[in-house]
Amino acid sequence: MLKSKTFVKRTKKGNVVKVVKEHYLRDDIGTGVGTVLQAGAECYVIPDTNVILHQITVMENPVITNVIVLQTVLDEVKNQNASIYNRLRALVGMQNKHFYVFSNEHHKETYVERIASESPNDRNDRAIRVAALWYMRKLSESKPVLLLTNDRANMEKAKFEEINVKTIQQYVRNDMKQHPQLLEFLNNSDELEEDAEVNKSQRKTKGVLFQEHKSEAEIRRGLLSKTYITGKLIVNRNNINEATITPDHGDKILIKGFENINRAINGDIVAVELLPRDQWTTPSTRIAQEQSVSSSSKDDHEVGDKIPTGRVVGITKKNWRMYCGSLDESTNDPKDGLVMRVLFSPVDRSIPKIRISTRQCLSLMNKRITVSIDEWKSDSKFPDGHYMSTLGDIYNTDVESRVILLEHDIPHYTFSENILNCLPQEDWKATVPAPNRVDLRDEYVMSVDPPGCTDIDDALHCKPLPNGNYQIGVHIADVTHFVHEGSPLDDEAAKRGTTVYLVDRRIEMLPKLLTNNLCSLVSDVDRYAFSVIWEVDQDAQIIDVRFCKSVIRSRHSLTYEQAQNIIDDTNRDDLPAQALRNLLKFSKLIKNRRREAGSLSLASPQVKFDIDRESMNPTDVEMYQMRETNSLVEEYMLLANVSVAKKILHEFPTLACLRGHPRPAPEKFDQLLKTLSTVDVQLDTTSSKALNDSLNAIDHSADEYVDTLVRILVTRCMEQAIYLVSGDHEPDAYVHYGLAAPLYTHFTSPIRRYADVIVHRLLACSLGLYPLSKRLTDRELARTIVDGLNKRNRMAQYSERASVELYTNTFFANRLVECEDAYVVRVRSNGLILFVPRYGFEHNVKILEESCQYDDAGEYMVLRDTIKIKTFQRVGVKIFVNRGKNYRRRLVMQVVEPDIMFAMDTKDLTANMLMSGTDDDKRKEDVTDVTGDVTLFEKSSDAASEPKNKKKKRTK
Amino acid sequence: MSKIEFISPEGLRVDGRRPQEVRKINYRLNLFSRADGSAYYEQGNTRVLAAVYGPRQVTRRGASKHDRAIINCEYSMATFSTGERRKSAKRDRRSTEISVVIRQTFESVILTHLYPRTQIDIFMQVLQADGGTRCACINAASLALIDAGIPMRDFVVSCAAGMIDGVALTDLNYIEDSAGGPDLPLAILPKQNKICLLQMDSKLTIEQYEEVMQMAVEGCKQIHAVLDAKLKDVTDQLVNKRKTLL
Repeated sequence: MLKSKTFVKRTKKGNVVKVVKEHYLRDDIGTGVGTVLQAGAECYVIPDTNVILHQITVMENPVITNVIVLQTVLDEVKNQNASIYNRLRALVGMQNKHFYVFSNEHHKETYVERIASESPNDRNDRAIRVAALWYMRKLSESKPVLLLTNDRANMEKAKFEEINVKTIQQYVRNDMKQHPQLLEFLNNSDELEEDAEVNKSQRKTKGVLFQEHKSEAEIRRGLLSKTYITGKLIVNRNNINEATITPDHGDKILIKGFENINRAINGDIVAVELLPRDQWTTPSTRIAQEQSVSSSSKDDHEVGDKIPTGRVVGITKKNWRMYCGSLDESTNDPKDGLVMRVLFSPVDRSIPKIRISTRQCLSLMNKRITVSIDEWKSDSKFPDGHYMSTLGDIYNTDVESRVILLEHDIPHYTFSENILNCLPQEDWKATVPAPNRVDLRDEYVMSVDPPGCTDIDDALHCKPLPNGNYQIGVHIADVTHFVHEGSPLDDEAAKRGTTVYLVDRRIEMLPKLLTNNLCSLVSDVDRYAFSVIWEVDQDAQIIDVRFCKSVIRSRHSLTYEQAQNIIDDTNRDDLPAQALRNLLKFSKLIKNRRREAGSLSLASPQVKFDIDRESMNPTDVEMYQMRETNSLVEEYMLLANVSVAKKILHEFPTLACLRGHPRPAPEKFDQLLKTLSTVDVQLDTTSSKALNDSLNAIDHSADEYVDTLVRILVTRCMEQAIYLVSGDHEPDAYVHYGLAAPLYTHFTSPIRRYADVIVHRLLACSLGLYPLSKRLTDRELARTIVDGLNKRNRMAQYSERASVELYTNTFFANRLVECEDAYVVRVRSNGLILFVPRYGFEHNVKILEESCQYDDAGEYMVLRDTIKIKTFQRVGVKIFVNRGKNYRRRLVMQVVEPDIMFAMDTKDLTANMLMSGTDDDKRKEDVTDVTGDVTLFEKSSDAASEPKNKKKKRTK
Repeated sequence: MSKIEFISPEGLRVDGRRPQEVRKINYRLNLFSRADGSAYYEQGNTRVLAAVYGPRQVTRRGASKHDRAIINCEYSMATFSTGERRKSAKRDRRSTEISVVIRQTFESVILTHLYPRTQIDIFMQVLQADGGTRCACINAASLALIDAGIPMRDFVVSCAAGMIDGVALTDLNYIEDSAGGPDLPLAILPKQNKICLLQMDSKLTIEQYEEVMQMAVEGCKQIHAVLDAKLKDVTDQLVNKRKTLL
């Protein structure tokens, strides 16, 4: 084994330091033929860096196999684009792709040293050529080796050295002729000129639309000298020509107009240059309906304060991903077989249209497809991209649900082989007695869940003790017994973070075997559990609490309804009835105590769809029904979570994973308070207790629903609850505002939330049942995991909401509701915001300003001088679905009672609804997205464990 | 979650070694004429000098032991040994600790009872640091003691091993060392299969510990093979010289 050294100079941040590194060259690295590469392959392909970077989708195609990935290429890809690097690594990991990584940089015969006059790029190109030559020599007898490069100079040199060399385009067109579908995926942006002269000449004629981006060095200099500001670009969803960035320090900066955004795409990290002060403007209130190359000056009637305005000078980090959408509806004369350049319009409205070339234009019409962006030239109005895959028909609920999952980046593929290998045998049986487990099989344990629930993660027992007190036990499925820390299964669960419940499906965090079988606390089977056992006195005061891993045998798996019936049945006085009644009695006491402490009870519009099994279309919508037993179970789950939170924080003050809910900023209530004051409702928002008291004091004699409505509106002012690592925050941040609990965590649903898995491990550590492993003590790691969980949770909520919206639209697409009760939530100068209790959604009705008088202070409007509409008034509405441009369905509402004449006729409605979407969606972004209907369960004191129940029910 | 890929999926470390491979080793003996024994030792880019004086008269009379020799160790790093030039690094906490550790190691190996009321001084200086300096110093000191002809129970060889991203690695270099993983310096008596130094500052699970420990032992054995082979050469040469003289 030969070892030699090279010296590398490297500059670190700030000061220049000479770093000397050893570099060992080896002679034991093989060609990979016969091991990874197939011995019988026709030819082995060596792509260069740019081919990988630009054509990763081609590489991912199953027909491309037997590729040699050089280490030089791999390193360059890693430096330039982490996401493509990960995709490439995934390809290398796939057995049927036969991608082999050749560590040419550590091979004695293929290592090249940089020559003095050579740039790093040239050196790398040479290294690639040397490796290709080495392969040719090694394999000379058997198979040809083909170097793929789109770099002219490199190609010429390679030809001179007599290496087989081709551009990717030549390779796909000639060598892969039998696979014409590859052409679809080909990114032609870097095609060498002789191949693409036609394209070029076409381009030449067009003018330049955008300013060129500044070079990396210039941007860095600009950022240092503070002439440029950097931040993440957020495009206004309703107006693609307007975006903002929020720098780390300083105020939000507005970027207005197509050419000022300068080809940056939502989520990119950009460098922005401020415009002179006289060009500063305000965010627009109007909305651009179509993407247009309009200058920012024309559409402004300026109101309000001007804010700093800038323009993008460069993009430091691109956030391009795969986009779901459809071909532009207005595409002329779509044909198959001919390469057509067509526009693709993404589902996400903050993404511009993308131009793609396709040969199957006709068959792609009316389909949801995915597309990725290749580049955006300065002379092109639209970015160029290429087709990736077809999802299915537009409006098909299954396809649209997949669109939702893809757009929210929710991992929903089936579990891979090596993850399933981590699972125990299907016929696994709990061994009793087990070491370190308490045998609780003699306790009368029951579970109470929604009907049809298969993943039972909690069960309860309650029994009187000889001293007059009671013992109450909560038993949670022992998921960590099966999910070993650091195993592929664990990593996958951490990546998924949570189970996602869409209306029609459930994307599980763990494989079915665990969720529905081995972890599920089904009746009459011995199961491992993690138990919290309290001793409480007659007043439900906790005397003692202990935690243990246990073996239980559940006696009954009850539904909420069954449990309620047992409690109500006065003839029954057997063991389960007594236990349930006691549990109910104590739960009420605990609940009252919690209320007194200031726990909020809020409300949210939650609907449940009845879904037709065959067509998967919703047939009815109804509100979710709550029983006493729902809140019984919740109460003990809350109690268990609080007890566990105390325990783990006490044992591991810096490592505990907690759930915090920040108190809402007072200004968030401003708008609501103002609205409420017009209908003589006063709210005291100084503390959660005061808020709850004033909510309870609302006089709802006139209309029962007003109470619920106010609670819904208050919910929207709440902050989002988040997971946090205790060591990273002040103790003040641990507080859960909605529950009025100083400490809270998630312990009770490890089957469907990863946070609970971490908490289970921490709790086991604190009991000495589990080693305090490296991964648990690594705060850096904990922080990344927790951030990931928060992001996943948010995405799960958004997708759940999107799914409800999808089903609502589908529901109304098939029917017209003539008259339905609705409540006015807010009165605006040009419209009403209405809430429909029966269907649990809110919508906007636009009324043109000319036809009404609007009273700003009183927030009411008078129509045609006679009809007065004010907040919380009940009206009748007609609901139907109108199809918008590019397959965007929109719900439309008209007020029919009192019969107010609309200032528009139905033909214009679509367009107008699009316009009025501004207010509607803005509200959603500003308010709902932050607090959210679903999150509400977190906050609403009643309901911390409730959403799951509900959704489980839904999915059945 | 670390950004650098310390070990590639192909099984190569940043500098091209495989996990169980130690760096290239080279050494020379008898560099200084005034010292009784001396050695210059290279292990990759880590380079150290060791000089042994004694057994000689005890400098501080009070410290003298009537039944054995006392051992003095001094470890220091040259100001130019690291990437950024340090101010005088003498007698800081770290080098004092390492000096003590090395002294303890050799007290158990040198047959001190043969030299009562004397002292043996071992001076070690790191000329260039690239991870594993304390192990390199022990190896160098061991060689210098052999050069000085001081009787020992066995050769002392030392090697560190660590764990990064769940993979046990032997003989960590500076980049790997600063990855923040556990680091376990070990010194053994290879012929007797005994451990004379084992340090562990970070936490490891039992299973991981076994793995890392095994790695370190393997590393020590590799180093011993290299040192022993070359030492035999050197000794042969010395014997040959003697013959010509006779």
